[in-house]
Amino acid sequence: MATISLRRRMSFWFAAGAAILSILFVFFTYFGVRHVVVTQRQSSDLRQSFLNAQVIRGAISNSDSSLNNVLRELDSNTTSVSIVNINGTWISANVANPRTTIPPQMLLIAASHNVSRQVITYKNQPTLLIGIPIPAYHAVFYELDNINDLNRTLELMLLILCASAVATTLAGLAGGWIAARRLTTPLVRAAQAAREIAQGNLTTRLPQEFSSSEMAVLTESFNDMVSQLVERLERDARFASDVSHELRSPLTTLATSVAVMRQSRTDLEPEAFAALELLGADVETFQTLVEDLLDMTRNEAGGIYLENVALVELVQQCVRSASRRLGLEEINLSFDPTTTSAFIKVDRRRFERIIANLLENARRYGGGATSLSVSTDDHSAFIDVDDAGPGVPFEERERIFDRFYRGVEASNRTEVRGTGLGLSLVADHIARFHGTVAVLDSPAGGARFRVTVPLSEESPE
Amino acid sequence: MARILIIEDDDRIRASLRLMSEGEGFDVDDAANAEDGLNLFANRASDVVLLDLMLPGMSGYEACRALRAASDVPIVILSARVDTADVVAGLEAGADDYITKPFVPEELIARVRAHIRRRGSTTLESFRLGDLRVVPNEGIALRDSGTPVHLTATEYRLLTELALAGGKILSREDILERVWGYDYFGDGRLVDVHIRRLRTKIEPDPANPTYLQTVRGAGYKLVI
Repeated sequence: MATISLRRRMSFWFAAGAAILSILFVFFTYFGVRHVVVTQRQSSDLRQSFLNAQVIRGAISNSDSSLNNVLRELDSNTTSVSIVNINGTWISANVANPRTTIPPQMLLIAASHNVSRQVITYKNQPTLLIGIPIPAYHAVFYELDNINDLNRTLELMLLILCASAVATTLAGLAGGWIAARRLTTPLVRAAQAAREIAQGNLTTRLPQEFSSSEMAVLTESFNDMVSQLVERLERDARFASDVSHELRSPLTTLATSVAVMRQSRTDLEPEAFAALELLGADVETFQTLVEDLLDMTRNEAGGIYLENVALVELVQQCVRSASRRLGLEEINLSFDPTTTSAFIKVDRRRFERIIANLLENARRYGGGATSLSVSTDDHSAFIDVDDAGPGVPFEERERIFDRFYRGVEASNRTEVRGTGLGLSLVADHIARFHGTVAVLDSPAGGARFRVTVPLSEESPE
Repeated sequence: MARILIIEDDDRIRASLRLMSEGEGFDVDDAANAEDGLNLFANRASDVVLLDLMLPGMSGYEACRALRAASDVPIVILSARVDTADVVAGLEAGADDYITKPFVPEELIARVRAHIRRRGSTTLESFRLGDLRVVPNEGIALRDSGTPVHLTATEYRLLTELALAGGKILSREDILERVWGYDYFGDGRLVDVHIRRLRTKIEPDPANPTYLQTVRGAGYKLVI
């Protein structure tokens, strides 16, 4: 999730940067160009107007020529129209209302013999009005130049500039997205790989395909880390396995020797016999511990044989053999009608161990299993082992499956002595069949250990 | 008095097994390697052989095959391995049973006793499977053509129990209890391997059995 927001953030900032830069660019370009263009137009108009004013002045001094005709001629040669005010008389060839066309300030400026210049609206068009006094003849020459073309050009330029600003912003957004993608893709992959590794897929590695050296370093360090982790895990597993293997032979001798002594128990002093019983009981615990440890290291190293087996038959067989082995009373076994045609894919030996350990756990901590019920839904089989003991407090329901974890209650009871691996072995084994185990409350008041195994979809045998 | 042969390379395990077996009233021979064990057996046959799989020199598997070629004696493998491939390999080599180290000594003794007891008689005198006539108590399995079919004691027992069931299905657990006489932390593989081996001996086409049929998810039955 964090990577997506990083991606969005990067795109946003890229786009924002592009937008700010292009707005500044538009602003300066538009006003700069406008200033230059308008100034040029004004000075060229002014130059033209002075020339025209000279012509008018000549025309006035030469009383032969008609001022009207001169004005008409001037207008026809340029894009502008002209007005002359001579001794209060308004003359123009093309302007209908010369007097009202000129704004009052212009009249005042002209009256003080100064050149004036103003943009006015004439015939609904922006027009540059220039007034040039001809004091010698009490006349003022006005020229109106339509500058709408100029405005249109500037508007078009502004439009183009704005469009390119928008395009630049979008390009920034896209660039940001792509850059963020390029940057976050390896991170996303690394996160995904880390997740896979956490889920137990230790063969996961990052592909060596990133061109930038930083990413290559990341990839390399990540892969190195995983390799070292795997090596370490393997070393630990091998160590546990080696130790357990080494313990097998002496344990076999120990157990057999205890059995030999038991054969002649009638010859033993009561103290010696009591000591022998203590020894025997602990040798047994020790044996179970070693078996459990070996089972766990084998789980880690694979070595699992999955078979498609009938749920009902398997559970019956497991319960019967476990009961006999543990010397348990008859257990209340119940099967949902839906279970008769159910098959699960498990390793028989390990499944039997799961059932036996749950029954033994119930005996040890819950006063014995009160019932074992089997049911199914569309996808899974559920095996519930209920006891009438004190139940398991909420805060211990996860940790109870940790290796060598004993509940707070349980550790206060000295008569209780397990290997500390029973339930964690259940969790280990069941995970190999893609199943789960959890502690719930039994409707009868004690604890309920629920084993969930996915139903097999293959047809058996 | 029943005689046990212990072939085990670990001196202390061998010594303690000898002590325990003697304490249970068996006569005991022991050997630290397969070659010595086979020589001992050749000189004086035992009623049960306890065989370690990991031996120096000749392996336990080879020793097992050699023993089986020479005799029907029940062979119990003492294995440090519990994984299916190893167990099946041991059984395929001709063993009748296996127990993993570290074992509970009382359990080992119980199994040895079960194997010795099994050699006793059955109430079923004889039965036929097509052209094969089986007389379990006399250890005779003969085709009408006069060809004998060689079955081990465990195989006779397995076939007889299935015949006694009269075509009813026996679950792997039933079979373990009736044939091996001892229901332990149940291992159906023991049954499966023996059934497979039996099929290769008595079925015309072992891949499509006509007599020894698998009932999926339930067990096996013998169709006579």
